[in-house]
Amino acid sequence: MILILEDNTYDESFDHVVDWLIHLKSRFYRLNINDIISGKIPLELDNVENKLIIDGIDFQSEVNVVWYRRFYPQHAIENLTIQMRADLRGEVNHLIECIFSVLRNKKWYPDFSNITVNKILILEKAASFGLTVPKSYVVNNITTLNEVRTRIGDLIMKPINFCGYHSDGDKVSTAYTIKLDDHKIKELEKSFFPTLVQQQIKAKFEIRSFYIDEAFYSTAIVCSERQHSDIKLDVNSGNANSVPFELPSLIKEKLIEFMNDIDLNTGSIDLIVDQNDQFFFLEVNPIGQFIAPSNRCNFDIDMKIAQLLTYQDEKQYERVI
Amino acid sequence: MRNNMRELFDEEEINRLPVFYRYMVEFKKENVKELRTDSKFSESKSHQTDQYLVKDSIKSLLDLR
Repeated sequence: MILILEDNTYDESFDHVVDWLIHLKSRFYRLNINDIISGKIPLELDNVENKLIIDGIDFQSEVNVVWYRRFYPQHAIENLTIQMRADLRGEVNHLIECIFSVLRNKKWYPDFSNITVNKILILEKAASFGLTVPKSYVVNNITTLNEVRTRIGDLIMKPINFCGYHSDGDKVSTAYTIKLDDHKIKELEKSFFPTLVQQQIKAKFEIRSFYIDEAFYSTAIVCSERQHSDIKLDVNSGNANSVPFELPSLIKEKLIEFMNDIDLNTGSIDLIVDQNDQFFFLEVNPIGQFIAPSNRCNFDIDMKIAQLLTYQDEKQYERVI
Repeated sequence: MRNNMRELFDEEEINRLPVFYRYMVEFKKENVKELRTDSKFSESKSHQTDQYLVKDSIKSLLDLR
């Protein structure tokens, strides 16, 4: 059986893969962590006996492959005191760790130990495999920021980890990659919260490559007139075109070695190609969205993931019988 | 879209945050896919139970042998 781990976060890619799994008549169970937290479905977990019974199903013996999308309860811990939210987050984190432990010997996409990656450390790792990466610094004061800017030229900034959607009535705000120009630098205090700044690469085009089991589905996003430093804000501007792109063999080889080394069998890889045709590795997101580039380039990634999960499940199942 | 967050955070708060928070981009909530709650599939559910049972019965027969 295929186990799909999800929560209440809207995930367009997920819906498409589930459609295919139903079409393929694959055996699968969709597990929403919120249904465990709320008690909607019964749970019996015994880590010493390596036993996990959910909804009457023995997951340890029935599950062969796990597809992880997201697995964190959002609503169960809302409207509580700050301390209670912190306490419950701790409880939930340890519970999830115990559930994953029972399923540790299953085939995972991606492996549960690599669901989050550190953007800065991953650049260091990519560079060690011969991939070119933008120069990156974390700074917390204007003097160092200006020194870095003098040394390497124009800078962009982005979150070290993540910026969610900050709600304000019927509007929400979030952070994208943004150029740190003179005007913005003038607005800064002498010292500030440690912030990731990166060498701005003058892009010829950008690449979003969905990677799974050493296969690449790469989309080049060519933008005739960039309005923003973050191409996500330009994709729907009418100035951007997405076309299928074959990565050079050498880049693929380096990426495969790198992904194998960090134990990631799937992820969305962001690359940028500069005016001199040099490929820069920007980041990898283990739980990336793939439907938009897949649809634009006719990759059918949703179908291929469903087929792969089904194949892995049946392979393990055949081994058992 | 807006280019400063002074409506969301006061000046003192902004100075305590990473710099990028000053330049967040604003959207209408209804236009943000990630905030939608109308996923086609979201509840825990077992699928293809019939086929699963057929395979399971085959497994039982083989076990018996």
